[in-house]
Amino acid sequence: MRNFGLIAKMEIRDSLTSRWFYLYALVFAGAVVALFLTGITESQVMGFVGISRLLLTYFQLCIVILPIFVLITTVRSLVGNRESNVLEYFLTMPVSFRDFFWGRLGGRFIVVLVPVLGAMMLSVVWAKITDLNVDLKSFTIYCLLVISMAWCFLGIGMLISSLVSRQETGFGIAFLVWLFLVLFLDIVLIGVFLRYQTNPELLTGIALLNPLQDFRVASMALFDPELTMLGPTSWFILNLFGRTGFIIFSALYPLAAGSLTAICGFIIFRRRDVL
Amino acid sequence: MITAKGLSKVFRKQQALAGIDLEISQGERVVFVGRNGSGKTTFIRCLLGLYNYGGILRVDGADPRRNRIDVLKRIGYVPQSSPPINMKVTDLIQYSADISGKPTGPIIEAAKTLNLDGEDLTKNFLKLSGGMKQKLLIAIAFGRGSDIIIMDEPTSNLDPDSRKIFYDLLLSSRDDTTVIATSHRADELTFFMKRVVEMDYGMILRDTLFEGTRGDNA
Repeated sequence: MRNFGLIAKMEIRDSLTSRWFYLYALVFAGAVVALFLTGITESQVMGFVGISRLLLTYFQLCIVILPIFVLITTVRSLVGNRESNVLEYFLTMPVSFRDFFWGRLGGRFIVVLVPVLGAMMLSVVWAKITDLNVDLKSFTIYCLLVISMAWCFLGIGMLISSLVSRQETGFGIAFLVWLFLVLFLDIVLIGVFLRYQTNPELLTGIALLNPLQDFRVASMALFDPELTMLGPTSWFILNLFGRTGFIIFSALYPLAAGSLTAICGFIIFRRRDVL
Repeated sequence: MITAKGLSKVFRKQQALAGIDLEISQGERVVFVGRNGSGKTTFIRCLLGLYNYGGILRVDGADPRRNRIDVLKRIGYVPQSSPPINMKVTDLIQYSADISGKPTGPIIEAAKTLNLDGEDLTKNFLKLSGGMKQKLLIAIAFGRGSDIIIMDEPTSNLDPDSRKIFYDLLLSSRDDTTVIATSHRADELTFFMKRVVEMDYGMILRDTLFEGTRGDNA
């Protein structure tokens, strides 16, 4: 456990000296600032305003940006270390594969979350200062969904990193995974449904397996219980689970998926040659 | 101390180690020589628990793969080329000491012996020259108090003066310290070693033991 902490600390320190981290932090902090500047908190569309409106838009941005950032940087870090023999050197010191793998995952988890949650908290502080209404319950649920999303894609990133030996291959797989999940949101699913007259239950099942779809529906369901802005698949999903049930599912399923992929990644990492 | 019986390693279809049998006793200084692809580095990586392998490999009865912590606690390793570690030198020393459960003092002392001064220790590892990086990794390997030192082409980046200091450091190590090194050139480290193992095609071609005071007079 002591070594787990040392490895996590090393990962955090390494990330803090990397350019990608500052770009990553800038993107999320910049997104919040940009949303404030564009006056989105004043928007009356769909009937809700204030910081909730900003958080919803921010979360929609996170759904697209966070997964690809997490996937690419995780693959770059681990597979890059393998290619450059950094992994070889650190694994010739007395540290178990378990501490090394989970320590790096833990360190990255913190590094990935701090800028995203930090920007969200900053927006709430600003909202308090400027007397905007803050719904703390929704804010807390958004934070939990972000944590769940980060864990899910870190797990997938670690699995990809354990499977491949070359960065290019890892980037390719990471990009394809992201693209596949983004494409299989409502918009494509309804096209498939119309084109092939697919069974709605099957369609719903596919949609539920996509963590991005789950996050999307959960975030909207927080503010749009009438479901007027959701797509048909989302409507079907929400009808099946109910609002609260679906939000719980949306937080727990990606956590489970992230854990499962991370465990698979660890088993592969432990069994294969380091180089 | 180190026992290999029928040790083999295959990469895809390429046989890197073809059933090696070898015994290395405590305190022996062994150099593996051979051309590129002869199997020297593969043998060392098996010993470091970095590769899966066929056959038997034991360090005082412990399997480097299954009992990696027990084995690696005893090993100080100097790689062939310095990896691009993005860390301050002081942080790397601290990390190496912490993970080994040892103090940083002996590593810093070994670094000073190799002419790495205070200013060098405050830099980022990436900002050091190739030779300085190699010296630091040697200092970490020796300073961790390991009783097995494994070095893959350790002098490849060192200038002649530094090589001399390195050889002195090597000779000043405890008598019971086992030293295993690789080299392309038979004349490089062989002077300091008591045993030369020549490898090619993943096999041991010749295993020569030099009795007497070789190296002790250097």
